[in-house]
Amino acid sequence: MKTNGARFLQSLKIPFELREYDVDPDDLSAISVAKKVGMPPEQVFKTLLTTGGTDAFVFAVIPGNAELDFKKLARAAGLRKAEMVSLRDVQPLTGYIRGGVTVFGAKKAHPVYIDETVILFDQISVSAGTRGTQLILKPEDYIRAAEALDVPVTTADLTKDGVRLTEEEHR
Amino acid sequence: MTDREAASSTICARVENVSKLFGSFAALRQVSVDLLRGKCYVLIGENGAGKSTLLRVLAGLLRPTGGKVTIFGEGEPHDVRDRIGYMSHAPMLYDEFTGQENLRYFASLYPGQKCLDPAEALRQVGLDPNLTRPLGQYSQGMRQRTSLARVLMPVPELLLLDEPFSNMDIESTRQMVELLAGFRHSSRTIVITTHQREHAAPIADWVLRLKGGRVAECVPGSPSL
Repeated sequence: MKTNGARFLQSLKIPFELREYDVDPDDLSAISVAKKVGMPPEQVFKTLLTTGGTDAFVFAVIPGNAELDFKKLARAAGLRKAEMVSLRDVQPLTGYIRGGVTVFGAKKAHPVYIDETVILFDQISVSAGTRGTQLILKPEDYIRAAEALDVPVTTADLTKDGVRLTEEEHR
Repeated sequence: MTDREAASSTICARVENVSKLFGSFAALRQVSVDLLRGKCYVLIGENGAGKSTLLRVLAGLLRPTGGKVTIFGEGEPHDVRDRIGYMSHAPMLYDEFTGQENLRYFASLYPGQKCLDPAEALRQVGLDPNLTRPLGQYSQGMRQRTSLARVLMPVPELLLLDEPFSNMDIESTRQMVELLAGFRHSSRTIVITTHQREHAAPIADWVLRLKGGRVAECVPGSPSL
């Protein structure tokens, strides 16, 4: 299915692949999508719309198996705080429904913050702008396309920290 | 000695919020780990997870971009490097020399430092020091053991081994694990990176799974040796 996201990439002559999967409305998780499109979850990036207050919206693009660290996002974006946009506001603000949000072809472009692990991989996957269809492309092409939206595009550490093994935990 | 001092004396290496960036690529992200004396830690994870980078930071071969590494409660790895043994993925030996010639050469690089006799180091890893053939004609297992003998010569207290079991047959691997078990019992700390977690299981006190530069999981092992 040709989507707004795909059309946007085409207009920039950026190579990509479209991969379709069966949608389970009860499980829209990125991990489940990763399984269905046959990619490791850390390579399937989810696009989250967050807000730092009135009319301050930023996209956070993070690996499918990671949790967004709002403090880190706020720090990276120079916001006092950041939180998820409520589900009912996602479609009015982006034109996309949950599970189908992408930064490309959204109603309005917002600054894009991408987790820095994106450059680890040869290919990543993001939603094509509709449930059931994923875009697969090179991370550098994803960043290039996001920059073409004429918004700030930043890569930063956005996800929650890992486990610590301290002396006390040895006991 | 206070409780706190007693606790710190058991810590061989303390890694605090260590990050390592290569350009904009974060190979390690805020890793915090205490490594205790006489314990063996096995680092697992996919390629690019940060295993070798963490080992190289511990060895003092890479300086962290952020955070701090303290070894033996004394200083940075670089300050105590003569007490750290690092075995890299590549054997770092000369194919044209015999095992003993290789070790004699490396022993000459540690002037003034107490080192095991090269022949003794080779015996410790189960190799005959009198082998006359050049290293180029050794099996992979023998090369790995020679490489380990090189690392053991200066009698390190912290042993860092990058993929020590790669390309080794089952018997050679078993022998190396038994050997490492002996070092662990002599209060030395061992850190091993491996893709073959099962090989290190008999000596693993802790298994740390790295992912995307972070410690994703710490699982206590059940060492049998």
